[in-house]
Amino acid sequence: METAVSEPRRNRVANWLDAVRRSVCRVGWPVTDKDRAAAMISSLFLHIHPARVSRHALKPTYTFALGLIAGILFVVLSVTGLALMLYYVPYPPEAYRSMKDLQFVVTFGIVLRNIHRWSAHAMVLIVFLHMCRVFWTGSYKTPREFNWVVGVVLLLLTLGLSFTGYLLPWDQLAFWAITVGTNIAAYAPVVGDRVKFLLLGGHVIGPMTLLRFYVLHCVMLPLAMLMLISLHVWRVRKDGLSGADIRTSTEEEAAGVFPASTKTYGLMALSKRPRASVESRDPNDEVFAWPHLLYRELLVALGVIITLHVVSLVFMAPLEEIADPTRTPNPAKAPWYFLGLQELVHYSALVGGVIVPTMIVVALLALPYVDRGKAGAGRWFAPERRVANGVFTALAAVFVALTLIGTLFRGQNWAWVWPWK
Amino acid sequence: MTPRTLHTLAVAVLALAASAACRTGPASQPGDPMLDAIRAKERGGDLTYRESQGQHLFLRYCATCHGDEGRGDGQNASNLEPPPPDLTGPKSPQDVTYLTSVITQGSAAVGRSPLSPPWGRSLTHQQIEYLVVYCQSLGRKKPA
Amino acid sequence: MEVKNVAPPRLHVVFACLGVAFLLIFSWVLLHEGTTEWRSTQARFGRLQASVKNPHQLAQAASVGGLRQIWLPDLGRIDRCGTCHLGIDDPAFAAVPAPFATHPGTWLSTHPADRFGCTPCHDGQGGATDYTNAAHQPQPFVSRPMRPLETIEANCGACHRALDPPDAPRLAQGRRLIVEFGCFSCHEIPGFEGLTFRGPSLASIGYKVRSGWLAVWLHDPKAYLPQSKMGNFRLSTQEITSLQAFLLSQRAQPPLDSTGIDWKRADAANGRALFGELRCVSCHAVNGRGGTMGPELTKIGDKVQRDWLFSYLKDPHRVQPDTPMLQYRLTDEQLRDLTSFLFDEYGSAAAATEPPPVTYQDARLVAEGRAVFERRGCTSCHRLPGFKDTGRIGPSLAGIADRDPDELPYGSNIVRHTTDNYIFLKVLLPDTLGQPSSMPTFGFSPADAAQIALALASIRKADLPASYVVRRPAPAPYRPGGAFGELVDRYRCLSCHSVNGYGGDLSTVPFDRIGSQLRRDYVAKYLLNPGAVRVSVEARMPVFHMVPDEAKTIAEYFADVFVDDSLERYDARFTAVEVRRGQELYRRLGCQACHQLGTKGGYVGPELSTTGARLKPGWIAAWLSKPQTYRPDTLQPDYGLSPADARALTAYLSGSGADRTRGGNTP
Repeated sequence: METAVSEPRRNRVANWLDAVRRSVCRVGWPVTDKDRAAAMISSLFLHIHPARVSRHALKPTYTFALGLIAGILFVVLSVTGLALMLYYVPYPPEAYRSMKDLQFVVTFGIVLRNIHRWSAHAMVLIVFLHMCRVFWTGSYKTPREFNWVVGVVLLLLTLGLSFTGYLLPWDQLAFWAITVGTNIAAYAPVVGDRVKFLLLGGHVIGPMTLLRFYVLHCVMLPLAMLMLISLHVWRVRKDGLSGADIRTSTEEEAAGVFPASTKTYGLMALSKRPRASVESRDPNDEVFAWPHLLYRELLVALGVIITLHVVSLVFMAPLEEIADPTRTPNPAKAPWYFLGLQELVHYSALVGGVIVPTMIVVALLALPYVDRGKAGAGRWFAPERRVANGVFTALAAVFVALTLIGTLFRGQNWAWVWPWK
Repeated sequence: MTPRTLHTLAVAVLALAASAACRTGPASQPGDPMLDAIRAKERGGDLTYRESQGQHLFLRYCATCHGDEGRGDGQNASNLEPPPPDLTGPKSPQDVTYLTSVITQGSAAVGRSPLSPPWGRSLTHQQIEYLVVYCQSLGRKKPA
Repeated sequence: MEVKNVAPPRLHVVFACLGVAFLLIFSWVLLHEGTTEWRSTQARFGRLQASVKNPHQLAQAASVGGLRQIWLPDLGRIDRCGTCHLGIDDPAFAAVPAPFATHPGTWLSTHPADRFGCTPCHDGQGGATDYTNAAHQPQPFVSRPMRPLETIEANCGACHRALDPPDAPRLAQGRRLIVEFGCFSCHEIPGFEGLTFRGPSLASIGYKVRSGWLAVWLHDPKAYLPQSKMGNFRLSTQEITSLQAFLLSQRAQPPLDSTGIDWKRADAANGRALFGELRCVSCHAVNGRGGTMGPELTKIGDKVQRDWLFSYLKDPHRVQPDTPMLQYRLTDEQLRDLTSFLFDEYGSAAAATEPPPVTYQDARLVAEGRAVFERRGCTSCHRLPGFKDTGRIGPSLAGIADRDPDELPYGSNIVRHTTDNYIFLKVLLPDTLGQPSSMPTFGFSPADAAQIALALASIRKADLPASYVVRRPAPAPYRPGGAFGELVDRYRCLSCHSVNGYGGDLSTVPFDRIGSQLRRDYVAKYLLNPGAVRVSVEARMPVFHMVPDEAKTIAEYFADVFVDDSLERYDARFTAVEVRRGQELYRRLGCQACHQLGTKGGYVGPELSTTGARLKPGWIAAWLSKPQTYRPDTLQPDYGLSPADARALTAYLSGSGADRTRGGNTP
């Protein structure tokens, strides 16, 4: 009797709940291939992935998920950054005190700050590695030239975000790193001083600088970053995931890495370039994004978050004494990712401060339009690209070496020291 | 990249980070000559801060009768009948309440001669406390 | 086909592992937050409280959960020390160990925590909530870790700017040494503004000293005089020779004529008697005993020339207008005897026969010496005509306590790099810090150097809000005019006595209300032949050899000007009952422990037989009632006498003069 009475009621409740769920998410748990495709296509967020992806693109050793990790770090940074904004006061003595409060009294404050700090450093590193990966696999080749350009701008934005965030703790480390960093900017001819003035809101770092950096760090740059990331990912979606099938034949190569299929998501009116396909040609070489891609992304995200927590619990984010403009540390060092430049500035202000950075940025921006050959794209260290890879690797190695020298081997008065002594 | 190389890399990174963390730790600490000089002055460093404060007061207010070392041999002691007691002996009073009332209300208040005056209105409570702990330290230490 | 579209099982394994790892790590974060040091400390306190207090008190006690902090907006500080130091203001925890012990002493009642917090006195990182980060011990990146109690008085000095702050003997001693050695002559030192330090004028030094002595002195002043206030400038032989020549060429004013003096007839015995009578040892030490206001005289015969000494004793103000030394009224014969006595008694025969070399006529050497004189900043302390005031030669010490300890030099000294240690070493051994230093070595004892360093360590960069600062009283200079003014100038009364805080502190009798304290006749008589009122005090008023008119002028000026009306209106008609009661009180209070009356009693305080002849009754009563209001540092205890008791004692003491001095004037 009881079951007879309760059964319809339970059905009613289940039906009602199901209706609520369906109003939010129209596709059920994907069981069939159709649902798997629909899950991707009908979701605003998952739609950035195609319904089916090349198996080759899923190989961990192809991308090392670097772009994904950078994206996850951006999300982590946004979330922790928003939480930190609740406690932060962008005015000199209070700014430093809010760091101390985070450390001593705010619940989870120190973990939040550590995660934010280490994620920021990690993001600079990961974005750089991502760029290297894209170069070494030749993934910037047609039709992805412009996405490379967007990526270069994103790298610059990452550096800008990290640099503006560097000042916010308002300790000695922050103050003098930004002093050195903005001095490098001031070496630019004609506009250098004005750029520095605009950046600092004065001739020296003060409360105005802090406010400027705060607004840049918390509003302007993240917004710009968000828009460019959207563009970047959208282009990836449009141009197809990088990574040609290893097994592609010469004819296929001649036709482009991913020959156009009949179905595209290109904006017909705007896009003049050959349209990339959403799906690869050979269905046997593809798998559904749900669950293969999404599951792997979830695992990577979990891994990143766990790593960040462990690092943040073990290593404290540095915080020195409160900024004191009258006490210059010796040596005063820029943030680590600019130490390569500072090392160059040590030899020649013009070379290190102006010529080299300008050349690097211009070369990176122009690269896909200069190096137009299509051979060797989509593979690691393709033999066809031996020269290009060699040159790029050498330059990157020099830059890394300079950064390491500036970070570890430079002591008082920028004299050479051995870090183990 | 094989798991083996990954492992090696991870170990290397951890070792580097650990060494960096160790380098910023507090260095081994050489001496503080200024502190040592102050400690050496105050009876070979035997006195605590409060006792040495009491010593300063004792020398100013008490030593003319009780003597610089508290032995009851101050320059005015010979004029007193009964003479001031030796504060350094093992029988010297140690009780805080007793010492406080002697110093604050004078020796008459504890049933002795009126020759030791009451300091309660002239010195602050803080100063009397310092004197009390100094008197205790006099009794604690064996006369050399 | 279907197999391809579900996730491979090994991914599930990875997911499971990562999921467990995530849960573990998140519980670690929670644990990290939930077991912070201060929480466990508060739990310990809760248990301790239960054992220290009875249930009723426990019910009264405030709960201790959560962070506790004191916000000091004026000082820009937040101190959270109370989060762990929970028993700090509760006397019930006096005997428990740290961190719960009650704050010792009465400091928290004189310096309430809600106004002063903790770190303004103790330093350390007040915002921290754990032992390490609070910087109980020195920590990296904490510029001011907690001060050990030995040097904590440096922080007293940040607010208390008086030269003798209460209950801070080390700070007071450090400041006294700074004043005594005139550190502010070469350095600008905040807190010592308006004070001047003058070494003797050198305008006529060529006539004053022996050239041999000068060389010894310049080489190392301590060799001649261990108490010298002049430091050792570590001069080279060449510098000494040239400086010697330059100084000997300074002959602005020849000494007073002493050609008519027949030195052979000098009576050393009379000189010795005069030396005692003039109370020279009140200011000058000989053989280690005596005052410190004037230079030590033990070897004076080796230092100065006889004619100059004669002339100086006759009129010291002629060559040293700033000297605290008074001008005695002595005859030439008395001066001759005194000079001769000083020479024979306090000089060695070898020095007396030394022929004066005349190096000062070498113009090149003199010019060289002049350059040395200027370069080493001798003008900072010594006046010499022809040198314009070039300001202080040493660097300013403003904000010295906040100098970056890592930027300071320590030379080869193996010390912890703190500003305190740097200042200490600089004061003690300025030439060992690995940098050329023109600061002289003063030869302080380590303890003195430490106290000076402690006083300097209170000079911070940023000044405190005015509401926290207890300023140093700056007495207005007192320069009376007329006949009285001339006498005050001649006899340098203000070297020992003070008026409204201006003047010396050698005497225990300021002039402020002296007309209402002392009887006019007594002053006039006393000045002619001052005797010892306090037997045990070594520094006594000199016998000026004043003429009676001068004494009368001073006594009248006192009686007319330095008057406190509240002391004058006192009914001095005492009854016999009052006198008897006073006598009884005198005995009962134990006054005889310190005061002599008749032939009995101690000699800590003044003898009282002549009180009635010396002091006015209004003053006696006022003094006995509240001695500390008149002299805060007096040894006279406050007995809390009622007005009637004070009156009875006054009656007894006023009468005593008439009763017991029948045998004549007791000096």
